[in-house]
Amino acid sequence: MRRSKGFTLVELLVVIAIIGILIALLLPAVQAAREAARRSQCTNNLKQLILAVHTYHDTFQRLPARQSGTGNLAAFTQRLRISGWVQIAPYIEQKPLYDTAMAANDNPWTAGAWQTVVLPVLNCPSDAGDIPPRGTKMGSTSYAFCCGDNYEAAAHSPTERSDGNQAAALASTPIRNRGIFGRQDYNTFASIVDGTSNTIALAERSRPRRDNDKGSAIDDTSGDPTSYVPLACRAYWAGNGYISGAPIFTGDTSPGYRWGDGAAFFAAVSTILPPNSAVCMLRAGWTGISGHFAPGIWTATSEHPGGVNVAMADGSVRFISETIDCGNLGVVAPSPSSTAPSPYGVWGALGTKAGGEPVSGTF
Amino acid sequence: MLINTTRRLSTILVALGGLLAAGCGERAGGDIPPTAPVSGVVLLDGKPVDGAMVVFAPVEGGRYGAYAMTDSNGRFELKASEDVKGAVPGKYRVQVTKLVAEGGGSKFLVQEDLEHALKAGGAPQPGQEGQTKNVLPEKYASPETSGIEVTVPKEGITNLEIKLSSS
Repeated sequence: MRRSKGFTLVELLVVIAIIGILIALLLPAVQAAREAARRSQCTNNLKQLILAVHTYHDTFQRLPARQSGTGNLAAFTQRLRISGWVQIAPYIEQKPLYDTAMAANDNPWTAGAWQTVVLPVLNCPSDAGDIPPRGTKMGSTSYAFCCGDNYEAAAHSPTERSDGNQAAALASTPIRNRGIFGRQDYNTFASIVDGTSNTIALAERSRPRRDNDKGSAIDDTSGDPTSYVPLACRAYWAGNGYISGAPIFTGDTSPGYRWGDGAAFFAAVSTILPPNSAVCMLRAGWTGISGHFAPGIWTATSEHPGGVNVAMADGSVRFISETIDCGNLGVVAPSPSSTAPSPYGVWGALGTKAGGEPVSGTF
Repeated sequence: MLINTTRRLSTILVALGGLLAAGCGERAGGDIPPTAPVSGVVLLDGKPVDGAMVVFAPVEGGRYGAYAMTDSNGRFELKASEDVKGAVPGKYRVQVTKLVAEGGGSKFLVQEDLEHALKAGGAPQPGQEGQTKNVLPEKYASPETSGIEVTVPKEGITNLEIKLSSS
């Protein structure tokens, strides 16, 4: 056989094909490495935030509330809607921002000196949501305070906002939850009877980019918190977004786009439905008031493949798989005052601070 | 000679790539036990209802629910999850809702709108928030109150009629 000096066309094509295959094999690995780096940064953010919560506890001998502030729901000051992020701002090196917010003494949804500030530590790099599908963008956030496994609202009743007398009377009455955080509910580490390493304090709630996107909320106007089963919410979830025709809340600003707002809609996370599934508002009786006050299932969501990051109350940060055991989603959530074990499996048990559920070290 | 070697090598590489890609397949449905196919139709006063969400909530002791949305003929086929068809055999209570966006919604002062306006120096305008409305009787909006119970046998159900009444 006579050997030619150059390469034949076939040889060249084969070599190109081989290189192509190798690159095709490598590309997903490179992409995965990039996501791994973002997730690692995200984990670090949560660690900083939970450390700030601990420092807050060291200073005041109590944990911050998810939602608090001056005035009441009907009076023009902070409107009882300031988030825990503002409370812990001095402990993430943002004392001037905190001072500005307190001096302004205004609500968290009107653009002002502090509302539109974007804090990198509150934003997970994987969370790409930039423009809210609905409403006005303030400083964004990717994280939320755990309220446990009950349906959490931002008001005592649908009329607290419109009835000035009621608003004034309830201005200092906490809304307590089975989880650590609530409205004006300042817990201590002593109240976390289930153990700080078995109780979730903070978790991710990613921002939606479109109405049907992960993180958007279903507006269920027939959802009554006393008879609603979480499965009805889960039914609208199609795996990577909502099913077409799902009744999405389109009323006002979408979740994740107001860092200073402590309403459950923006700042609470529930351990009921598995991570990376549907978020639902239960608005039976709550339709004569801004949807942001409504009770709901505030599911943890993220852009990480397979699950979400959570910060436990002891300061550790864990990755929770979206296949975590969620028990029977066909039963109504316990009342906030219940001390019974969570019906929602390991996920529910991790959310409650005093449910008395045994949780093994691996989850 | 060289061509033969590279050709063989490339064949091996392609095969290897294929194997690797196959290995990355997703698990389907997690730990859901074997299901039975359930299909049927939702009828309100005898007429099929399209776009209704049917939810099968397991009774106490059960663990796996099922759900489906009805098509334009009011027919549905239950799923236990996004990628598992059917329902795990057992006893269920059923809820049926049909939530549709209500044009305009009810008028009331949206707190946020009001304050945006005041801050900008304008007069407060009554805001409007679009919202959804359940067009089926409220009784069926929860498995607790619907009074509909279905037992799914091992062989499944092929023509389940869920009859709702507006009176």
